[in-house]
Amino acid sequence: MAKFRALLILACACSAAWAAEFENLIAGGVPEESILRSGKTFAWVRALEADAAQKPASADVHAALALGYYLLGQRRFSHEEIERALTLDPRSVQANYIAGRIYMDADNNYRAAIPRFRAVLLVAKDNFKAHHFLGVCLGSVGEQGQALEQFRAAAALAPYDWPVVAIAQAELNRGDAKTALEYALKACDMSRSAENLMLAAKAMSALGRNTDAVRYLQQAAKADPDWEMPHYLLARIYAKAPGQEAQAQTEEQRFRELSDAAQ
Amino acid sequence: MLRNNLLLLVFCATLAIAATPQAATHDELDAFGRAYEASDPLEQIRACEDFLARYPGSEFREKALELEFDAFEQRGDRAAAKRVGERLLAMDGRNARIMAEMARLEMAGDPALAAKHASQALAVLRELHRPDDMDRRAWIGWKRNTSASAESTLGSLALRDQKFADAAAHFRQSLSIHPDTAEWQHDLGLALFQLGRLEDAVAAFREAHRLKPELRGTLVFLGIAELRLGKFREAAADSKAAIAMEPGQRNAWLNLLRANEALGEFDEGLANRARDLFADDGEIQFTIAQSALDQIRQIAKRVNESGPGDEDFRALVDRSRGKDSAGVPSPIVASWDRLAALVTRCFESVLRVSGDSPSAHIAKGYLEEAQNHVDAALAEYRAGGDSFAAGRLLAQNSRLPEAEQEFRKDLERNPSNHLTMADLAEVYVQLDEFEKARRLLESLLRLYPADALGWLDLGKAQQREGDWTAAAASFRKALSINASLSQAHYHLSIVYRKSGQAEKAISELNAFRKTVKKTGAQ
Repeated sequence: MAKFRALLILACACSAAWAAEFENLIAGGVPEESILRSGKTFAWVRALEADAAQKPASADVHAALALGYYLLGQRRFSHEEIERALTLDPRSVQANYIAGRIYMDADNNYRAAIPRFRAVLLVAKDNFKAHHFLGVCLGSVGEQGQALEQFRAAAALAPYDWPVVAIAQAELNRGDAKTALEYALKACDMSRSAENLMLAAKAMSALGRNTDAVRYLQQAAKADPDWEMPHYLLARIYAKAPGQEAQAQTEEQRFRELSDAAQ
Repeated sequence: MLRNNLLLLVFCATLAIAATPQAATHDELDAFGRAYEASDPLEQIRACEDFLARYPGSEFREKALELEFDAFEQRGDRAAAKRVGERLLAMDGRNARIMAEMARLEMAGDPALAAKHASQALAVLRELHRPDDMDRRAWIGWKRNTSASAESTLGSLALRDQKFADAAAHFRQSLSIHPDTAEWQHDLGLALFQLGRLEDAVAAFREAHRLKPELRGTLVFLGIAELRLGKFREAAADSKAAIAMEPGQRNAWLNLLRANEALGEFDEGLANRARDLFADDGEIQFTIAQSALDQIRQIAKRVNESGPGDEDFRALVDRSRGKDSAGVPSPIVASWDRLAALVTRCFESVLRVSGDSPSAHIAKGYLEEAQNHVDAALAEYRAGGDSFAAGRLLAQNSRLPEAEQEFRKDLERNPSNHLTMADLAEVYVQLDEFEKARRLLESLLRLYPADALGWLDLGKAQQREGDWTAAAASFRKALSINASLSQAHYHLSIVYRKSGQAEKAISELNAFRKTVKKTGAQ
């Protein structure tokens, strides 16, 4: 019985994500960071509230509080705190960074986020997170060239694959499959995730290298057996190849099954 | 971007998360946070109650109740968990996780309600669509876990209602999501076993045991399924392992005794241990008695072959007349004495604890047979439903057509009873039904190619059919396994004579005479 219950409790375990992926929301350090790292986001917020009562003029504390509320999904509180932090210190790296993220992620207000990330880079020019998300925002408002510049700057600094992935995607979007493949393969070297393998396969397919694309798509399907998209692309590639109708049908069927499951 | 969008994962674990709850005040958020991050279930329940009392209109209300529900479950307080679950479902009748949980909680007390909750959970899951802002992997994981739980609950309920095909289908669904759940593999095995799909049941039980060796009951059912499949060696081994895990496991003991009996193996120490452990269990006592009787028959056969001049032969004849021979008995006679005493004690137990049971009737049948009361014994065997014993007794008394009927009746019930097949083949030989006999014997000899008596019977059938070449080959095969089988020499000499091989016929006749003289058998 305990096992069955554990399966259901897994559903709740997603709430652990409240603190699990805060890393890319921190531009530098944050106060009371050990509590945040312990996974107790609510406790961290309470500690910060106490800090803020004692040090009401600390931009860092208010910026951290904004992050805390952001992690807890509290839109109004996070906005209040980030405005306060920016008022106290308009040049604060963490305040500007978290403001950018809030405007970008929670509000989809890319134009408001761009100056915040630029403000981070004025003080901390090697902040690859700011470069990356500035690129994301610039791309979202149609500034593809500037976006690529930011992704390249981020890629030169970041230990993660996401700027490289963003470059590959941007190059693919603008029709340069060769460069896209170069970056997608770099991303695959950093992490053989299903998404990266899929991106490389898309670039290969665009270059007419369907045999390689099939191999990468099969690997992507294996890396994430629940993801329908590799099967969709496999079905399309097989459908165009003579004599591979049966494989095309099988892949299409698998795509439909997984799509239904993911609905 | 998928991975970066973590904010939106908040509360995305459950369905009632169209939007993340928003606290009206910092105090409200802090109070919920204290409940959420409480260090133990009791503290969590208190914090939730406190939160719900202070903020009855909070958007976090449902979340707080879910926390409380989980905390009560962790404490094993099912009644309280159910009360909270009912409140949650009243609040949101489409909360599939809580429905699946409630189904599990209601299984023992209200199976109909449990089935309703589980079916509703599955229906809701089929209709739901992933919120745009929810991570695909988290969504699929959540949906699958909830489905698997609801399916397994329906499987357990179907198993309880003896709807075995439904149960198997539900457990297969659950296992398609979590194939490594030993309990579901075990329950699937039970359903398949009841459906008579023994090979599949064995596979499921084996998998359950592989996944969780300490799971109780799996080895017991595995042994029983193997026994029914005629895999006696495996049945004995798995039953022994089940007993090692649970020394008082009655069904494992019974299965082990039956498997050993089928293998023709008798462990006197094991039999005595079982007799003492289950003194009031008629079925076990009866099984021990039957195994011991088999051993007695084998001793009698060996002693009989040694002839009237043998000391053991005389000692056993004395015993059959109710007399004890003087002096220290030989090991074989001492063994006979112990086995006879064991049979007596076991039959006494059977008659004492279950006087009108099938086992008791069969025991009485043996007792009547021992006194040569053939019809009385037959009546008891038939009352006990033991067609094999009735057939054997009828065949011994040359009532062959009746014996055939009894053996066939037994084979209808137990198509894999090879002993019955062998005895029926012998009856067919005696009834001159050679074609039927040959078919049975050939299939048996494919399974037991080292059965000398089987080859002898096959030879006899082929001889009666006039197939001298095949008959000679069968007799020679019998003699290659047991050279002292005098009857095989005798029949081989006849076959050689009929086929014009006079010298070989004389040689075999001489071999027959020598063997008879040596063994004292006629």
